[in-house]
Amino acid sequence: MLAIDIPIALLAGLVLSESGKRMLKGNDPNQHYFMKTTVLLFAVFFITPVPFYFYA
Amino acid sequence: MVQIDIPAAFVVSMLCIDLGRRVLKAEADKAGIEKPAIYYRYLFRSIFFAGFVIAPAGIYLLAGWPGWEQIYWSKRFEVVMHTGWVNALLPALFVMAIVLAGYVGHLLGYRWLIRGKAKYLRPTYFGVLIVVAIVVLLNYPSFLLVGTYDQYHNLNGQIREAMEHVWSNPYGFSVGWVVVMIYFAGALAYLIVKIWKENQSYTGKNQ
Repeated sequence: MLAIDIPIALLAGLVLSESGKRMLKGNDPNQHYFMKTTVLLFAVFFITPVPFYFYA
Repeated sequence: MVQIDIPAAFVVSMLCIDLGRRVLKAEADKAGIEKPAIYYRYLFRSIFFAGFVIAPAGIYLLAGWPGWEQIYWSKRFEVVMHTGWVNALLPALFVMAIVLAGYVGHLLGYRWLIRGKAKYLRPTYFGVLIVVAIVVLLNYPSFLLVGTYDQYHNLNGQIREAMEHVWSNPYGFSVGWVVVMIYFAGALAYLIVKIWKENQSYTGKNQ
């Protein structure tokens, strides 16, 4: 459901940020980009296909 | 087209590596680790482009004109709703394939660059483009006609002559296609210019 999927994606982003907070708090750009890329990959590769499956 | 979009994600990722080779190589050498910050920055760009430019463009054309979008290779793309759990997977698999191709293009391109095999980059992505062009051209005139799988293959009482040419704007196709191309070309131009400028202004201190 679209009404669920978009909030779920937001929540997933928050959960991933929470789990990687030590990396995000640090000053290492390597870890910042790692976190950003991980969240983006998770969103487009794992979350997006699910609503597409039900939407189609 | 499905046959173009998936390789396009791979090619764009490799193109980014190629354009940014100076910065990537220098930063990797400086950091002394295989995956420095610049690796993830470029990966982010590649995945973002695949997920927010190529995938929506492909899904838009697949949803509106499913036959044309896959040059009439399969009827399954036209019957994804209420026909069981298999056909409905196709749009999702299409999105995943685009993102995966972008990821693989980045991974392979970066590995070659770091391991002194950058000479493989251009032949690879130009080779992929040539193969894709050949595949599409071999399917002439499918890419010029808009209609259904049955019409294109003269099945179930349908005939190819009933199909309309892409330039006659059948079902709003031409407008949709132009919008998609503008979006894609604009985003690609922005990405290329951004990486090119970053490479030109790289001094080794500003990263």
